[in-house]
Formats: sequence, structure tokens, C-alpha cells
Amino acid sequence: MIFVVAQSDPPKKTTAGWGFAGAFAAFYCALYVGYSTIPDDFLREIVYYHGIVCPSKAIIDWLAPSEHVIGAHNILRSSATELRVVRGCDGAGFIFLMVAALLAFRTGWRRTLFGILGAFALMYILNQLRIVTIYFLNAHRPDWFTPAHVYFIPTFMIVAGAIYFVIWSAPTRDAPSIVAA
Amino acid sequence: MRLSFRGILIWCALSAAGFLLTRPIVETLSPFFEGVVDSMQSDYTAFLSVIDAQGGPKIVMSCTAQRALLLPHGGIVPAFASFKCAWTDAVHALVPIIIFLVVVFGWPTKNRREMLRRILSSAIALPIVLGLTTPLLLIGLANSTLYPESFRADSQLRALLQPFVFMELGGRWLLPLVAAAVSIRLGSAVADDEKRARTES
Repeated sequence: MIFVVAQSDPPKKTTAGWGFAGAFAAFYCALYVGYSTIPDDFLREIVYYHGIVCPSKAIIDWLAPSEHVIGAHNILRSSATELRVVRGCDGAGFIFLMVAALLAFRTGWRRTLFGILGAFALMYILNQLRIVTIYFLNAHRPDWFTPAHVYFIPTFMIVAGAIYFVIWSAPTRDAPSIVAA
Repeated sequence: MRLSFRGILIWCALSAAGFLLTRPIVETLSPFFEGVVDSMQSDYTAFLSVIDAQGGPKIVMSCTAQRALLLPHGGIVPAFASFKCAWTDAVHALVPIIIFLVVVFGWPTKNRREMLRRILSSAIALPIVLGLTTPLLLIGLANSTLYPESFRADSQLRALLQPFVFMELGGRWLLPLVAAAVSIRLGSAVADDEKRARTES
């Protein structure tokens, strides 16, 4: 009896191709459109309050109990300052970029799913740290608030997301033939 | 790991340089921004100035109405009247540049020739990124001053602000990332074509 060992097709070229850039932009736009349909009230009263304000308050209370910070709706308030979490300041843009990149990079669904879960976790943690940092800057170093809020932190988060993507998309022994969409 | 370290190093260097040189960079870019704002709408001509303020320099846009502008609720801006119509933090204008350059210079190249081609393609892509970020932001802010109802009015007025809202909610990060990916691909595609041509000959 002769056994024939079936050989799989040779792996296709791995390239950050034209298709990837197009799919990345298309997935991002789709996520943005979906996000635009969410009512402001729902974001403010449910998502921002439970998902961002309450955890941020807990972190600030743990780091500096003397701040006596209060969380209400989408606002973190203390005697020193008031910080409002609004659409666009919720880290959604960072998460959409990462999810769009992960979806555009064609690979197995299991790897994509774990990649997306990891991206959510990373961006959520970074965003909480961002909110707490800009709260303290606004309260105690107001001159540093703008550069940190609009310049250093966003660019750092994009770079952190890009590094996550590069590490996630690196070829593995289990998935050698990854092809950009 | 090396790529991550390289990316962080380039981000540190570029963001520090951008922060220290914010004012000269933005002053250099201002005429280009003015030209783009003027070409995108015909209601007013823009004049940009960079002023020092608390929290860092700001870009202030003065608008000179090219015709009488009718505002909602019966308000009128007379023709050739100038008014301060928008402002933004100068460092905000640098964010797309930093993202674009970190990706372009952080992504590895096979050789110097590929890097040179990447720089050439970036020289085309970067002005597109610049033209579609800060000018759109300033136009959006001016429109929200002139037509404050736009944020909750009918779909036509909302359309006036859609590009601005899209850019501010993350489009200004998406655009430089896509432009950088295209520049990298262009640089490597030309290098691959040349290599193939040499092999065939």
C-alpha cells in the first residue's frame, strides 16, 4: 500500500498590501457609522458612567483618597476640577482602529477573535490610565493638560496599538500563511 | 521586539521634537492650511495666526466674508467683514504628522533605495494628510460658529459638519495610518518591480 502525503499549497506572500489599507479604512468607517447611531444618552448614562467614570473614580480614590472625587453621569468632579467624558474621549477611536486593522489582516477566525479581545483589553486599560492621568493634570498641572490630552497621549496610544498589531500579526508556527486581505 | 523598540524610540524623538518646535512648524504650514481652507469653501477667506496662550500656542483663524452671510435666526455677516471664526491648539495640528512619520520611519526597509522611494512617496502623501486634517477641523469649527444649529438640525446642515466630526472622532488618526501604509507599499512595490526587471534581464 502506498501512502501519499498530501502537501499543502506553499504559503502565499505576506505583505501589508493595497487590499489591507483599503479593508482597514472600510472596516474603520463601518465601525464609525455603527458608533454614530448609538444615542448620546445611552453612552452618557450607561457606558461612560459604568464603564469609564466609576472605574476611574475607584482608581483615583485608591491613588489619592484626599481628592474626594465624585462620579456622576459622564463627569468626574472634585473640588479641584471637573472632567467630562464625551463622545470621542471614550477611547472608541483607538479601539476601532485596532479592530479594523485586525479584521483587515486575513487570518484564522480564532486568532482574530483573541486579537480583538486583547485589543479591547489593552485599549480599555490604556484609556482608563489616560482618563486618570488627565484628571490629575487638569487638577494639579493645568499647563500640561492640553499637550498631554491632545498630543502626547493620543500619539502614544496609536503607537501602542500599532506595536500590539505588529506583535499579533507576526507569523507563528500554527499560522504560517497569513495574507493581508 | 526590535520593531517595537524602534517604534517607541522614533515616537519619543519625533514627539519631543514636534513639541519643542511646535510654533515654527505650524507657522510654516499656515499658508498651506489657509490655501486649503480657501479652496474648500467660498464663503470667506481665511487668515491663520499662531498666538501664545495658556497650555501652549494656538492656531487662530480669522475669516473675511466674501459675501454677506445669512445666518440662522436672521443674523447677517456683512461682505468683507472679518471675525475670529475658529481656533485650535497648535500641537493638535501635529498629531497626524507624528503618526505618519512614526509609521513611515519605524517600519523596516530592505535597503537604502527602498527608504529613498518611501520618502519620495511620503512627500506626496504627507501634504494630503495635512490638507485633510487641520483645515477640515478649522472649517468645521467655523461652520459650528456660523451655524450652531448644525449639530442638531436637519440632515443637510449635519452634512456640513460630518467631515469635521469624522476627523475629530478618529479620522485624523486613520488617515495618516492609511497614507503611511500606502507610502510603505509604494516604496516596496517599486523596489520589487526593479528587482524583477533586473532578474529578467
